[in-house]
Amino acid sequence: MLNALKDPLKYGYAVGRIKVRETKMLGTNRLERLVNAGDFGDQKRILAETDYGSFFQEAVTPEDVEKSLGDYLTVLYEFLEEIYPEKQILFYFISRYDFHNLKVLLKAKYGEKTGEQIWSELGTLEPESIKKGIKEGELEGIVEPYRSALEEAMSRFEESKDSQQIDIILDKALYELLYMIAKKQKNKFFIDYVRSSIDIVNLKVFMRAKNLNKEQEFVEDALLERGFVSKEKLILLYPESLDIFVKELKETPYAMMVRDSVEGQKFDLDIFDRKEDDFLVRYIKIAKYIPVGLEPLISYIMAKENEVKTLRIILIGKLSGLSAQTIKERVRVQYV
Amino acid sequence: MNETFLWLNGYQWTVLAASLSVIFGGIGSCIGITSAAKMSAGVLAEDPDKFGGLLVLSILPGTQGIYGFITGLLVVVFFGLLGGDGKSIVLAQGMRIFLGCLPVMIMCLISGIYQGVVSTAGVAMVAKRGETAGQGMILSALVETYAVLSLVVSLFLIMAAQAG
Repeated sequence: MLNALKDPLKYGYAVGRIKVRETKMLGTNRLERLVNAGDFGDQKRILAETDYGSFFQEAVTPEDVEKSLGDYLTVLYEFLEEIYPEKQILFYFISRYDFHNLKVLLKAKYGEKTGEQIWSELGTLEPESIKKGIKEGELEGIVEPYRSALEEAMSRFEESKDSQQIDIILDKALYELLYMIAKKQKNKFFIDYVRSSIDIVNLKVFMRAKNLNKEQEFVEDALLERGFVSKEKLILLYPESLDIFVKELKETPYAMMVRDSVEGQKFDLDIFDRKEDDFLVRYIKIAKYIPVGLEPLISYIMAKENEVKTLRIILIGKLSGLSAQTIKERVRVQYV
Repeated sequence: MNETFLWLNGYQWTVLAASLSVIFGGIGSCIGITSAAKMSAGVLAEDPDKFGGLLVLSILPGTQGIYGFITGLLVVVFFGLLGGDGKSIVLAQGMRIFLGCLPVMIMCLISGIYQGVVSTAGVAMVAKRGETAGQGMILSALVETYAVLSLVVSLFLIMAAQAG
């Protein structure tokens, strides 16, 4: 009852703005047109009808597309920063880019191939000072919680010389931070979203480890706390067969995703990745029926991020000559 | 004449009745309108064409304040509070006037706030689809009913108190 009074006063303005913006999102129809477009030029013409248009005018190569999408997100976050009454929600999303950047830098420092991973401009960390700090091992200038996560990741790597340790430590720090941010907002929708995300990360760690026949100690170390499916349960299931694993998860919301990802005696992580995004988008759709509050604000950012992700798949897919059918298989469920 | 109940005599109870009717109706409307108008402002910042529908949705919770005002004004006029005749109101009559105003005081406070909640949801609806403004107004007006009913009963009770 009290929230029904407080929420419109606190979030009303921001929700009003994003509710209108939601109607301008790409939506399934337009995405389908983008998938079926003849070439990138046609796609640009379709995008010109939307607020993406101005970002793609000069784009030619896949690198340009990446940059345009990055710019689009930067402008989006600037807009949200201006209207959201609760900056912590934005920090939730931006801290993920910071942790991504830390991973990229650490792996570059230790000479690991980073593949397609590139520096994201969306983080809050100052690139030059961080780069220098990490290179020289001087972390004083870096703020918490990044600093302690970096320190631990670096010392763990130097002990084990295993670059996976960097991912494990930084992921743990990231999800702990995300959980704390959500918990502070005292919003069930938000907390449950984080816990579901943690479950999904755990399931991925589990599946990858199983595929590579890693030892149990690895799983015990890498799994995250605070998910709905407890860490202990997953550890207990690790030595069991895939059938038992699928059966044990039958009562959870992840049953379908896990079942569909089983391919013989292995897990197909490509399928799981796609289902994972679909699952989370379906979850945030609950917020569509909440007229005002924190929920629409959170789900708008998630929906936009998902839209950008989908757009990246479609545009880069088209540029690299994939068929419409192949691209369509990779396209995610959309919020609108 | 100088009989009192809870330290107030008949005249004072009458003044209290008129004041609280205006105050509580006003509070309900303020909260209701703020709730709907704040969200409308967000929608209008993006799409100024929706002003027509949003104005009506935002203004609907405002009627409760008017009902409180009508009630308060009638008490002032009926019982001669302006001219000084009101001083002669006995405690029994003052209490009847106060109790007669209770429906408006309570119902306008509560229904104003809740009408704001429904109007806010209506604003969210209009943000998505402009043509649903009419439906939003009807839903919001459903809450209005009970404020009107309380006004009618309060008016009758005040008239009964005046008739003696």
